Amino acid sequence: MKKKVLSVLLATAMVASLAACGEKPANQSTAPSSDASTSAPEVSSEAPAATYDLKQVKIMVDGTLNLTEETGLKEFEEAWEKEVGIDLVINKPDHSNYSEALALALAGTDKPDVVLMPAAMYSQYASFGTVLWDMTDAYENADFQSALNSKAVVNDGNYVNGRLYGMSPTAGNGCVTYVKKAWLDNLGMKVEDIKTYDDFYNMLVRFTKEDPDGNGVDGDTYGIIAPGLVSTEAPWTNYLPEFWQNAYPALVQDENGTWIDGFQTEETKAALERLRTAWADGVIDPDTSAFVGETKSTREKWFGNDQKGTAGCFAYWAGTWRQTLTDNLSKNQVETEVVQLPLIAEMDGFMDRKAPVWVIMNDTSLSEEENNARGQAIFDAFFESMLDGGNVQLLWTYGVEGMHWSMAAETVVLAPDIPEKRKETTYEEGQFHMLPGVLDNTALYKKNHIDNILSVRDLPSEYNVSASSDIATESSAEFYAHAISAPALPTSTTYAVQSAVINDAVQVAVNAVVKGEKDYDAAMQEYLATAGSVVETVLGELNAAQ
Amino acid sequence: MSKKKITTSTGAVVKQKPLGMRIWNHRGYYIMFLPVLAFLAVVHYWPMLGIRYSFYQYYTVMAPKFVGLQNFRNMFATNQFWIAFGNTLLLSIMKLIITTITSVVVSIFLNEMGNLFAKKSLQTIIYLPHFMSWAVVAGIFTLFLSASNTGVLNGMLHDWGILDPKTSISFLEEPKYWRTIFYIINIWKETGWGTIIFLATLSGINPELYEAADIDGATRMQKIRFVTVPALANTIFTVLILNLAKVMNMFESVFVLYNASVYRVADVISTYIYRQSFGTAVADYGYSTAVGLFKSLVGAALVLICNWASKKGRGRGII
Repeated sequence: MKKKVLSVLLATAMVASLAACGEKPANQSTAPSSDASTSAPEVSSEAPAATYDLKQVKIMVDGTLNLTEETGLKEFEEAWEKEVGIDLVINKPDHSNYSEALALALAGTDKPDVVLMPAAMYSQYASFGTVLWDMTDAYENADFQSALNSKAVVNDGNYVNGRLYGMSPTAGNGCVTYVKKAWLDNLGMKVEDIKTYDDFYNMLVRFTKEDPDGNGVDGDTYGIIAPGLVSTEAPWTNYLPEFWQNAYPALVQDENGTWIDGFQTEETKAALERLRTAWADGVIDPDTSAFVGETKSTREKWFGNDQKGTAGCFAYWAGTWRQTLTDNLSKNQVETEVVQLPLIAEMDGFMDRKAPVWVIMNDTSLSEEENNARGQAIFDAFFESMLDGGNVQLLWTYGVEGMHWSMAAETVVLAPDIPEKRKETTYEEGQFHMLPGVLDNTALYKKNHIDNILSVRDLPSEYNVSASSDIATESSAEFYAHAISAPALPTSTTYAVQSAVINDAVQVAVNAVVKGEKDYDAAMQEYLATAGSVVETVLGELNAAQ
Repeated sequence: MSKKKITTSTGAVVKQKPLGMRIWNHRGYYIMFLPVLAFLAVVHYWPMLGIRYSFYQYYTVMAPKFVGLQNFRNMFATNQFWIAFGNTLLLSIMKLIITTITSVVVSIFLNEMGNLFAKKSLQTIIYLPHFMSWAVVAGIFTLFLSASNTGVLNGMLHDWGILDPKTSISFLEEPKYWRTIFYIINIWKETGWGTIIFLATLSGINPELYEAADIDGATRMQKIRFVTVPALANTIFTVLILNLAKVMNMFESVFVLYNASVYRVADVISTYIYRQSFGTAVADYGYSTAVGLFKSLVGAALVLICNWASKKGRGRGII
């Protein structure tokens, strides 16, 4: 009898534990203490009449929200909730697998309310018009409209079929080529003398054949490294811009607005020839073809402690990243400044990519009217506050006051435990300044999610004396002085679901040509055999929709 | 209706009790089994309802739409699918054969070692790679095989004068090297673990057989050939057919080692499904599910074939 009683108890416990596995985490199921209900204001004649009781906003964001559990994500959440009065739940998957995590989340039933979506994904989702909330009216009538700066033009490019489904708080930004100045100095070169592709290539050759790092060994370095010969996402050419120049190896509109396959153009053929020559000459670090899409591995090799086998040039995001790369080189005892290559004569400009956009997911369980009210409520709580020009924008831009930045009178000490790097700076009361990193006290914290240099709304002037160093500001200014908008992204049903076929075929063909495994014609034949029919179908759909 | 008669283990013929009464009599066991049943239903069988989406056009941006066999027609008309299918069979079967052979050879070698300390030490050393994740293994071999100045193998080839110092080989990016390297990495990682079952069999061989061979004047090689290998034959066959049933389940080892340059020789069904699901802006889960279902059906067919082969060869099935 005892055994039977015991078995019943055991079975009950197991069933209970199984049932418990299906319960929602406490932070998702617990109703917030604050019962802040946000009514949908009338924004236009088509504005929703219903109200929506918004208690919680669940967001999904990639690593561009820099804060982590260790560096103050919880404090950020609490500060946001205090300012806005609504519960904020942040889901931040691993940055390198964000697209996969996002695709899975959007296929599930428990979708996030607000999502940061890569531009390519946004253009496809928006074209279907069924999943994302149409925020056109909300955006055009938003309180922040009158305060936006010239960079807000970025959102003009987010309209799809005349409607806006997502908004970016920053300009897109793009890549410029950074050069280790010490290497130039060692070879008696100056970055301002690099004006043409030949100048650029000559520099790469000298970095490869000579001894730019001054270690006494010729030929143990490379000219340039990149995370792939062609990027895995639009605008495709940004990591080797001087080689690709004005070629665009993807579906693109020509000067007449007709969609064509940019991969089959003469410009692309010429670019592949340049890359092929460079590969044969050994000026491109061979790890470039192994690090496809792995920007972290690439940049860590570039600024790593052991400079043997590294490269002199690396194309990466303009602006704040110039300072970050400089800091990392310094941290690794690599004594060099980072200088930015000017636009070479053969390029029309630096490619300003389409920025990732914040979108609101429709709730299909609600009526259209309720869904609109919900969308407006989320817009008011999340989007309006993100660009409020005040406390919440500061949170998104710099993090939490007292933890990441401060206005207090104090002396900030960098690297307190490393005498040769220790640096003290004293600030007066009311003087804005960043604080040392939570995990790394040798450098100041730089930004949270919004890069102030790229923000579509300026913060009050006292906050613009910001974390953005002179070199970061100078880098961004140089980029935007010569920036050209990245081409519009194709939006068609076939492209939406089969773009991987085209992208894979491009990667295969580029690698085959550049590494000399196939000549251009043979590689193009294979490309057409693999992806030709998909390309043809997509071009047909795109041009029919014109 | 008359009760069914059954014969007990003692040979007595008794009338079988009604099902309800039998369940009631053994209710404790049935209650204990309930959580297992619930687990199986929820974790293994309930998700199978998703199979229906292989007959739907299922984009994440709109409600699923029934399309019949269209996804399967698309799949069979796609060149890359057949490349992936062929690679799956080739890579899996070759890997199975090669790692089984190396495991047998290493097991025999270990069995012949007289020094117990050396034997145990070697066993431990060759087991260790099995416990490393594929991501770590890929990281190690990517560094080792890198074509840049930091690549160990290229450096050695340069130093030994085998390769011109001005050129390097991107081993993991060149189709002609990729499969060989894949097999070598699998041998390095899995041979040690594969020896366990063979060593267990070897330890069970009757020593009198070796004594008899000694009396007959057999050399060491002859003892291996005529005693050890025949004793292992049944185990080798069992291991082969058990693993043959799993050949379609190849993903992680390929995923961490392949790249766009080698899709032609490396892409397998699982990595193809992965790219179809996550490599596009809008995933077509209907198509991915169709490919996944096809993979499962082939896998199920292989299990049945192996079961049949097992019955023929060993006298008993594997399921």
